[in-house]
Amino acid sequence: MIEHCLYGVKVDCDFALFDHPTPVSALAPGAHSALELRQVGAGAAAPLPESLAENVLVYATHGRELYLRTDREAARSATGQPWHLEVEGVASFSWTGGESVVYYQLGDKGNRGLLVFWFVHIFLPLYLTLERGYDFIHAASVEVDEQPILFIAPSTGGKSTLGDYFLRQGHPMLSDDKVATFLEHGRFYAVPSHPHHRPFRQFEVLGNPIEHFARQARPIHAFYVLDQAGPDSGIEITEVTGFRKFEQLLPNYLFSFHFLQEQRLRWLAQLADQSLVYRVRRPWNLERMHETYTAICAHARNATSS
Amino acid sequence: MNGARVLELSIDMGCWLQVADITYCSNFPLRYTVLHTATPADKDMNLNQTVIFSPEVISQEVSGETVLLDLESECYFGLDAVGTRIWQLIRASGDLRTIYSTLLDEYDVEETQLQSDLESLLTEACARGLITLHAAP
Repeated sequence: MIEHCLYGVKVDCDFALFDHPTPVSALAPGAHSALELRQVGAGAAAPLPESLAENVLVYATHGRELYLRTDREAARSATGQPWHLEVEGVASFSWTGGESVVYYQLGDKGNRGLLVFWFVHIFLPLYLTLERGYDFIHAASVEVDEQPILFIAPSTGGKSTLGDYFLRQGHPMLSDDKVATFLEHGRFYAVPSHPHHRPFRQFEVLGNPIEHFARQARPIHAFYVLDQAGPDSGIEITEVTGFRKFEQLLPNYLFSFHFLQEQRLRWLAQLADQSLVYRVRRPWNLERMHETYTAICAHARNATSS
Repeated sequence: MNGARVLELSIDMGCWLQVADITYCSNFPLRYTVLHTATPADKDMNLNQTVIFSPEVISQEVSGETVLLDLESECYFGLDAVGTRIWQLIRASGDLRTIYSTLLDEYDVEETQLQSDLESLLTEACARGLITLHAAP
């Protein structure tokens, strides 16, 4: 088995997911046991009871429909609960609650490249939310002086582009799209995801490999909500306070399933309560990216709540 | 009213926000609606009432303010600092006259203004299904 470290969890697989290694030093505290990815038929059968058809959640991403099935009113996974995620035509993943083996099966439109994409980019965040108690934020994240800062913006709002700029200035990257978080000893931690970034728009692609990948989970320092201004505008950074912080974080909670809503409210409110959140109004001008970078770096180094 | 805080209750208490629930897809836009601000009521409030929470509503404080989630409608609401204080008093007592007296003591506000603002907030909360008002026993 080939060993990987993804989202702070050790993942063993019967083939190498990437051409480059993932540092096991990035294992998160509380990551618990390893996860194993096995092909259906490779020594074990996939757990697929007929009752799985009773509860189906459907959603779409990256141009494909996904079907998440389980045998009961959906909630965070219980011991022995069967789960099945089908990426239409490409692959399916199944597992049993409380167990650490995930079985995959390729569909008629699937191949190993697509399998890796769907496993790493979509399946693992979902699995880790349901099984391991992570909460995911749709954000890009880099370190400034070993402290993670998270960039939040709507789709095409420039967070990956800004993250890429920080990366090229030598800052370790935790993620360019999905940041796993967990709460330990009263602090929220951000977990390095997988060593790729995608500063471009393309479906079903993990992106370019990165060497300067963050090595460990660290407490979240601050959120920066990216706003666009005219190309000649100045840069303004203002603090968001009170329940407006919750409002900023809410649309970026990744798996907003109905059955997670109470968990989502409590987690988001606690995260908002304990986090520094700022709005960054910056010029929509790639030639002035360095000014934005400099302003955010300086701000992050001195950021404390007013 | 020693140490009372001076606040414009009618403005602060009217600061409601509703954010509709979203189903997962990071590429979908968030549906977002700002509700109207509360307006003063035009008659005296009946203080002989008890405020009861909807069992479907859960609340969490965020930096001195409060987020409410109605599990039935799946809508979120925000309360500012004054709204949060009122919510705390509702949780502690539920007796409207006690809530009113406490607020009158804590804030530098005219009685008629407080009645009007409190009624506006509770009317809004009733309309949204967050609370119900019952005649005091």
